[in-house]
Amino acid sequence: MMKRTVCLCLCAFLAVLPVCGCRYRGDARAEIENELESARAENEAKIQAAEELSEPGKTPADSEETEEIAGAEGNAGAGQDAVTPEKHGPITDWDGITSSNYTLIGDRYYYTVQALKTMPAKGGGYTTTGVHVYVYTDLAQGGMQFVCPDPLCSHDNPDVCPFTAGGQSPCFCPAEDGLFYLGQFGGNAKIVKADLNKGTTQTVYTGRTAMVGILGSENSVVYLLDFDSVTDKNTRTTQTTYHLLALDIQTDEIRFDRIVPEGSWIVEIRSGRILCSTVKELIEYDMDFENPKTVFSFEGTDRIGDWYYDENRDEFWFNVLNQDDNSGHIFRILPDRTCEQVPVPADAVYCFQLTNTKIYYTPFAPTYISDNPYSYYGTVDYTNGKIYAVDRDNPEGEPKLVYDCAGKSYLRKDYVIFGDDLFYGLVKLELCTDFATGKEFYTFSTAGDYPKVHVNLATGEEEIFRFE
Amino acid sequence: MAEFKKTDAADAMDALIASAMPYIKNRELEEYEAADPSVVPAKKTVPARETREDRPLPLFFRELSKFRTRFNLVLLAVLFLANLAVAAVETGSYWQNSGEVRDAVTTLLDQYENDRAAYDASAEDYEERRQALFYGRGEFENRLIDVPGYGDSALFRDVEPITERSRNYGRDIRRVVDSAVRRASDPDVEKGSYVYEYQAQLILHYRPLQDTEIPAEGQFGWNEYFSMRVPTILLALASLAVFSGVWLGEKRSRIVNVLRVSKRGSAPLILSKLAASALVSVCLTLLFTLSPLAVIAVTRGFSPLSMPVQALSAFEFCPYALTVGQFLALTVSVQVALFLLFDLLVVFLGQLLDHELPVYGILLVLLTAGYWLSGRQTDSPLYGLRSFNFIDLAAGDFLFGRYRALNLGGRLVGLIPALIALGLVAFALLAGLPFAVGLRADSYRTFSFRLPVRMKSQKRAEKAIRFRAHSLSVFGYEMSQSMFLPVFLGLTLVALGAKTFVSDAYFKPYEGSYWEVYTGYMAELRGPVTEEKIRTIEDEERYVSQCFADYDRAQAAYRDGDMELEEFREISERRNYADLVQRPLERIRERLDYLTDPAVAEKYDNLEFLDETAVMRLFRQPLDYIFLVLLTILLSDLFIREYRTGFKSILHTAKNGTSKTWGSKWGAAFIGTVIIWFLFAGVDFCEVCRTSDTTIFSAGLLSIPDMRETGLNMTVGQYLVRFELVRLFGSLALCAAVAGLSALTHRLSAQFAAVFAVVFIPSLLSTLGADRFESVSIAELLAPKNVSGSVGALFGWGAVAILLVAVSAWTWGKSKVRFR
Repeated sequence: MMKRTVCLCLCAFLAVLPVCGCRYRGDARAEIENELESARAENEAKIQAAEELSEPGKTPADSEETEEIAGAEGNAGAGQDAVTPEKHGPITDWDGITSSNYTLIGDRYYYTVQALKTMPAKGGGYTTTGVHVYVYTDLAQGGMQFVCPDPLCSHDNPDVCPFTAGGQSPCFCPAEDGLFYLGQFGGNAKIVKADLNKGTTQTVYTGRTAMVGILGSENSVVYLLDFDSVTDKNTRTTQTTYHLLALDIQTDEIRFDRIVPEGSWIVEIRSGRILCSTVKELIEYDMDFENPKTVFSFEGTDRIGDWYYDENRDEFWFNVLNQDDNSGHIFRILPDRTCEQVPVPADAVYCFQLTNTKIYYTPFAPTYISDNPYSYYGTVDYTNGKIYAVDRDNPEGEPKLVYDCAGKSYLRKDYVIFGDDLFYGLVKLELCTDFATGKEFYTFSTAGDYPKVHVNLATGEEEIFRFE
Repeated sequence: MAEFKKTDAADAMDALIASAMPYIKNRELEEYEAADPSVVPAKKTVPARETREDRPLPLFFRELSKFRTRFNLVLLAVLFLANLAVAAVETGSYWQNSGEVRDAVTTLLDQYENDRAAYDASAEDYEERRQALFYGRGEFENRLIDVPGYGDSALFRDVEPITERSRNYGRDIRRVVDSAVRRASDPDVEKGSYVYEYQAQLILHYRPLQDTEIPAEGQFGWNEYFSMRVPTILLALASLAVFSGVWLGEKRSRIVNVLRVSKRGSAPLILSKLAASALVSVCLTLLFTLSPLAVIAVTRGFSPLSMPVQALSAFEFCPYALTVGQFLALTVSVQVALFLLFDLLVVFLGQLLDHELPVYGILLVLLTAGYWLSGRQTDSPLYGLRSFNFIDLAAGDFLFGRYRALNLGGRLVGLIPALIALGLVAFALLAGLPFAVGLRADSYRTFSFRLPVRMKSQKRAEKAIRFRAHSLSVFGYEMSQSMFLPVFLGLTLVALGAKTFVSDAYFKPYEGSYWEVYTGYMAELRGPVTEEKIRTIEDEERYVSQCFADYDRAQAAYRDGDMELEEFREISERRNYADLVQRPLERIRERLDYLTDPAVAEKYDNLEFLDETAVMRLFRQPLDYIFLVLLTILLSDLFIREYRTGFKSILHTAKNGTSKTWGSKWGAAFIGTVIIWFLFAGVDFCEVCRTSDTTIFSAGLLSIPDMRETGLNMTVGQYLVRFELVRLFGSLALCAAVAGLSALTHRLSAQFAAVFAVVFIPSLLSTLGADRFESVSIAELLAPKNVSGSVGALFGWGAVAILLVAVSAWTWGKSKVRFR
């Protein structure tokens, strides 16, 4: 009898214990739910404020109304701080502008940083390996966030973190059904689909080689570029065939696989048209690579530099540059497929960025630094660290110097500007030795971990985002 | 259950057992007889004044006492000592000076706490000395502590993470919480989705920790203790050996069906066995997991148990506010629970199957599957199941190192609640199934693979009769029994098939354009370095740079209309070719530079261009576990079967039963080993020949840059012969070890345990990264990294082999059969 009573008491205690625990946890959980609800409301208010601000005719200066809306929708007090349109300016200035130079999804600018891992080597000493990791900066909130949704993940091991990149450049594409990106887990390149709600990743396409490109997405299709090649040893020639693949994001199957015309590479696919570049010209095809139409012809050793497609005005902007004679110009292809030069106040343009209201550009200003056995032109600073801006509607107007490195660091053509936010890859000059000749030379070094400099152009504040 | 109640028929059965008792002298039955006096009421009468010794033990204690066999005690002692030895080896690098090390660490940390400027100066001084060493500007001199195995580098390596965590722990946790808040409040993340719930759980678990103070105090012993994985491996091996035999004793003595009908032979017996097994399991787990603490207490000492567990580097993100002591209790509890389930599974499989081998097989498959699962990459559909692998779970700390959750179709389930639920279900099944199986009438024939008599054809039976042992010589008979038994032949064929499959995958040539081009170049250049070949390479290099230059010019010409499309296309294709071959050509250039390097070319002969990929794979081949397991199975029964069948006593008195039989057995074993080695080496050699150019065997070994460390001036073929001879010697040493132990152990279970301890454990440990075991592992001979470096292992294993052969002769000559 005694035994039975003890057993019963023990069972009752064990049964009540989890209930107490759940209750305690339940209270804490409710608090967190409330907090997250408030934070979510703040974020939504921010987005709404940004949308209000992006309406035609609105400027950051007359955004009082927006703040009131945000304050009303967010929690008391919190919403007031949340709306910071002054910091970022008109954050939708790049809406409808697509480019291969950067990956911008919503307000998030995606890029990669490199995680460096130093471990003891088997034979003694240490070995360092680098892993490129996908990260983003939310332009409304600032800071750097890992795409991997697990705050406890170390992000430096491809075996554990699925959001490690196959290469230095981010290759991202948003679609209704998830986020597609280029991942690589050894061997051939893989296109991975991530569901950021479910926290799952799935390989949807494996390439023929170690490299596959994501060209963009449209109408439930993600366009991929894959290639294969045939080599003739006798003639010492290699025929490379590029394939344009359409991946159906609903079924994860390849809808079509078309061979890209020889000697061409795809620049842009939009609205049933494919814009290709050859060494000689820019050609527009339909989706079957039929009905070619030349829209621009290159001269000499000119080559295409940066390009942007403006969905709002159906214009394609690009610059051509020639490093032999340090020349460069900006052009645009108008909706009627005519092409015209954009006359910015510079003799030669090295690189540029297009937004809805501005053209940011850097004049060709080469400064020779040293020979470089790995670079035909040597180590050259082409930008002189300066970025200018002109109004898009008045490109010949007075240019405004928006940024000057002033010798603090070197600026390459990888910079992007979103409102008041400038991002560029941090490089330093590094003294190296050519093992073949024993000669010393300088080269630009990415500091090993490919850090990204973020500059607030309004305040001049700088911060460096790197893997920590 | 009603039919199993004590009935008149059962009483009659007890009487029958009692009458049969004089003829069944079986230890197990005696034990049950003693444990259950009512089984034989007709024979025994209880004396009026029973002494304490005469009183029968309760069934539970009787079952418990069965674990106290000599085999179990010896095995556990060996594994336990191995456990202590591994702990000592892993942590004992400066045990004589552990006090000084503790003082140095404490002093430096005190300096950090009380005099930051002095600490910074010490750190700066150390960094300067380190940099000087790094850039070759001088010798590194220990200034703060200099004892064998521990210096300033080790001191700062220990202290810096402590100070860093003490400073930054709160910041790191706040980062986690902020990141979780940010992610969960993202309007793109659906409320209730896995990601949302995961972030909410992180906030729930980590926010209370963000104000936790991590003291800058020395951490001694705990990091080393919690990172040890060897105790769990040894414990799993001990569990396999100890618990697989819980039912097999009764089954071998064919008494289980008799027990079934006795009063306490069914449910009470099963309950007693399970309870005893559970108790032993708990004790064993505690013994193996806690014993390293005693060693580490001597070699390193421990920091206080009251320290927050987050102070330890591996548990910075432990989601619970625990002290090290509480964490230790928790991890050990998890290990106890997990090994209880594992051991009950072993017991159950032992009850279900007829032999230890299938039990070992099933569990080894399960453990291997767990290991395989732990290696799944993030794009694998099985990635989510990684958390369920036994290897990680058995470590105990896996569950508490950080917050973990399962993603079930986009819904979050905490890993710990899921494991508790699964553990309870598994416990209920493992505790219930033995009753379900044990109470079934035909329970012990369930997994018998013997064919019914009626299915054996007359013809086959005649054949079997015609095959008579006496028609063979002693040696021939031993050969037929050792190696050419149909079951062994079948096993060998299966192993050979598996080996072929594995080798085919292992020697598969690299894929991709880079390797295609490189092998093409090597095929073209194959042979000694000649002026013509040097010119070919230089011509190719010129062609590549010309292609790049031509392309730049052609681009301009084509654009300007000075070049036709056809010509431009040809130049583009040449440039594509240059792009493709550029990197392989650089590798060829490196090889040319190496082969023409005077330091190599003047010292070594026959330096040639060759593609060594396949042959290097052979030389760098990991230990062949298929070969190892096959030889162990084939040879383990060599001497034991004579003891097991009782034939040893007959042989002992027979004319040819001692030295001739002994010699024949060894002869058969060695010849069988050589044949199997020949088959396995043949598979590898065929793969090398299939995937490589065979003319490379005549080239100088030093044509391969990776073989430079050997310093041997011989051909690749000669090195291959030497390599294979070392492997053959290793195979014969393995044969001597397995067969020799077979002569010593007399029982299969002891034999397997001994082979595990002597052969497998060092190999496994060296595979798992315990480098110190490489030199004593047979892997040094079966898969030598460098034949010149295997001399120690050759002598060591040679001596062991000779010793075991000699000891087997002595044992075989003197030993008698012990009837069981």
